[in-house]
Amino acid sequence: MSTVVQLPRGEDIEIASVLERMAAAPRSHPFAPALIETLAILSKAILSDHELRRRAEAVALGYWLRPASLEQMRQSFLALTQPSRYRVPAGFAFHVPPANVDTMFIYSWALSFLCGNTALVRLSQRRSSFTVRLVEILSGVLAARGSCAEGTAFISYGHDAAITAAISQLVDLRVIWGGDASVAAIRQVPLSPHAKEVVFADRLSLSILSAPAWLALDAAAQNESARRAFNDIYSFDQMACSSARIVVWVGTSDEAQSASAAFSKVLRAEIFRRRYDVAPATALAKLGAACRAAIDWPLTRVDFVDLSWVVLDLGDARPSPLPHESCGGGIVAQMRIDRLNDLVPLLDRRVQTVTHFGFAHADLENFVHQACGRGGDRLVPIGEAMNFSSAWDGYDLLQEFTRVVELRSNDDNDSKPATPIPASRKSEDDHSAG
Amino acid sequence: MNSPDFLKLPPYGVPQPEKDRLLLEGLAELTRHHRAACPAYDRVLTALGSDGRAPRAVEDIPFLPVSLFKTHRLVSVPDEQIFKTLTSSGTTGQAVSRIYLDRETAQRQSQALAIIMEALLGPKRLPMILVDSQSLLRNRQAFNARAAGVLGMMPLGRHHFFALDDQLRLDVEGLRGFLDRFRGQPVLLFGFTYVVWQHFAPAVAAAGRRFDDAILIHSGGWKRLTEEAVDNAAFKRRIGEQTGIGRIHNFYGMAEQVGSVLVESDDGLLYPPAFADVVIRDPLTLRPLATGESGVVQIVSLLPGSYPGHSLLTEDLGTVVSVDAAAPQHCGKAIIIHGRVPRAELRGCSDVAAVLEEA
Repeated sequence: MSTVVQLPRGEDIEIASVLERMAAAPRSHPFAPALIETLAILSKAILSDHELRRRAEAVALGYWLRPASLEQMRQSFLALTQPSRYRVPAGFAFHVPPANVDTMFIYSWALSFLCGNTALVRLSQRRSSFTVRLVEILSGVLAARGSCAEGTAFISYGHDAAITAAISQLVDLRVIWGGDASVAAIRQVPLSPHAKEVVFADRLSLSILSAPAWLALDAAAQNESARRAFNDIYSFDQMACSSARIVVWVGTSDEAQSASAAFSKVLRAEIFRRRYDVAPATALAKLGAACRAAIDWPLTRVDFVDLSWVVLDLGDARPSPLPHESCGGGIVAQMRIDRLNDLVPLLDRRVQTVTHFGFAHADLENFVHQACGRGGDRLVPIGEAMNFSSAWDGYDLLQEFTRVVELRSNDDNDSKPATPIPASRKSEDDHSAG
Repeated sequence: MNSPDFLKLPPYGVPQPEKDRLLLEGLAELTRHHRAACPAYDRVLTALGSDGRAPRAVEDIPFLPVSLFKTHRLVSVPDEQIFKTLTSSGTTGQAVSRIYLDRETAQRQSQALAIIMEALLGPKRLPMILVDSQSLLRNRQAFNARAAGVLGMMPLGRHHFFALDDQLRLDVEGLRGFLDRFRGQPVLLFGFTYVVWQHFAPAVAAAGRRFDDAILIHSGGWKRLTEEAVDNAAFKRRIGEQTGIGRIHNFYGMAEQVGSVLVESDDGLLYPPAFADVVIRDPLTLRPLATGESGVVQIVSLLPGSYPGHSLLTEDLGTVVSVDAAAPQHCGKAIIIHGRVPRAELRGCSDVAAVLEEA
């Protein structure tokens, strides 16, 4: 039979025996106290690890797993429940996270874990030392947690459709984290008839900035906003699905030009301050991308002082579909529109994250209303593009990772809560890993 | 066909200040020509802020990244004048460059190569060993840079002998016959660097054959040899030990700049000919770097008339070691090529497919 590598120790193991163990694992209720407690311990373990806490992604993950944040998720989950509708775990989940967004596999696993699922996570053979360290820590935390650890396994294997098929026949939920090519490849492998699939395709993210609002900022506020924009653009070398690749200025032509110039100036200072390192190959790739765009797009100009920040300026052109360059490392398409709603006809289903600056809530709400699902799955303030949330790519993952059991009794007017929700844990900081 | 004046100059006899003047004028004229004849080229220059004002130095001549020829058809002559299309080797699975030649550019390239090699080999065509398989030329589907290189070099010798069979094994009997026939005469060998290193020299040593008066010209990527930590000096020493070949010269060239090759002189450094030159640039700022500094190699050449390739930024790293230091024998810039810019590992969401395909 086929063997896979079991992590963190890396021993070879028959996939059949992994699947057998998973099938026998005990079940948990969504958001059972023991699950929440396990993640709170994991949060502490990540934030206190000397190696991990040097990485911004690890710190973000550690914060996302803190009790206060978990309580917010629990509240979101509670909001899904109704009288007569029980929420139960989807069952056995198979997660295929991306290789190089190091922390993604934990987000995917943790939500599934919180929802009470057993989970098999397939990690890349190219996993980084950072990923390996995360698996070690997580496995250490789980090992000390008894029964709620039994339903989790981390494995790795090469391009072996037979293994993927063996897993897919047994699971209730398959979660594939993008791109289009891998979604297409894994979709070839049949899934158990009762299972559901959650897929994350290639996405495109953009930033909408109000030019007059930017120009009204004082120097300190501009610097702070540049710091936020830097995070949106340069995290994960601009290769994450939520990385901003298009900057849309909203305002008059004069306003947009001044604001763009000011924005580039403070952003360049921030790039320098953060010592963002552009590898020569990336710089050359960006130059190549700029030249290709100059030929293929209605560009007015390519704006750069050096290749750490490259703006492909479309001026007032509004090409459709929205053009973007995906070579990463700090290259954006830039365009100008008069009003926020001018963007609506340009939206399509590829558009995921819209980071915004300088707009009132009512304007944004109106934009979402006008867009009416054409595109844009999350609108968040600039600086928050990378903040993972259980609402992602148009899915409510808490809903996707659970199922509904309808319960009607003879006394239908009864309005008692349908789901036996455990009491919220008040003491958030008294669980040490030991 | 008339040769342009720059092909009548001694290829290594023009001191740098004079060469700069010659190149500046010719390259500025080529920039104007390609802007007028190739709309895509003009769009790139316009977008990147080239205002068309007269350049004051060779460094001011705008350049294209060489990768652009992999994605776009860049040509400055009407289709009916395209005489030949060259493709680059590229790494397996990657896009290849397409270079469109009219008769005039193709002729200039051949002349240029002949002039450069004559400076090295003398005017007489020598008996020639091609360190490759003849089947390389037969298989037109796989007609790549290696085949193009062999074809380009063949006219420089005579009595051609292909030393390797289809499996790149040495034709021991054929080699014995060739060496017996031309005993006491100088012979020329040409091959790709790693083919010579891996398939030819060890087999010659194993067969107990020695060359007593031979010159080897080799080219092609150093990637595999760099992985084995073999540099140019080690290559020469080892090949010399194995085969007895006394004169070994590397050259640096590419499909996008056929004819404008940099040949290794006796001092171990590479020299561009009079009608071509090298500018080293900072990869981040693209500013030209000073002598002694390492950066990305830009090649300028007066040869390309049918495609806008007279000024190209390569993906190789190099250093100008000295200028006119070996004049008057070898005027101009002396260069070391360090190899390809290292690949960048960027992170991202869309790489599960790559993982699935890796095994």
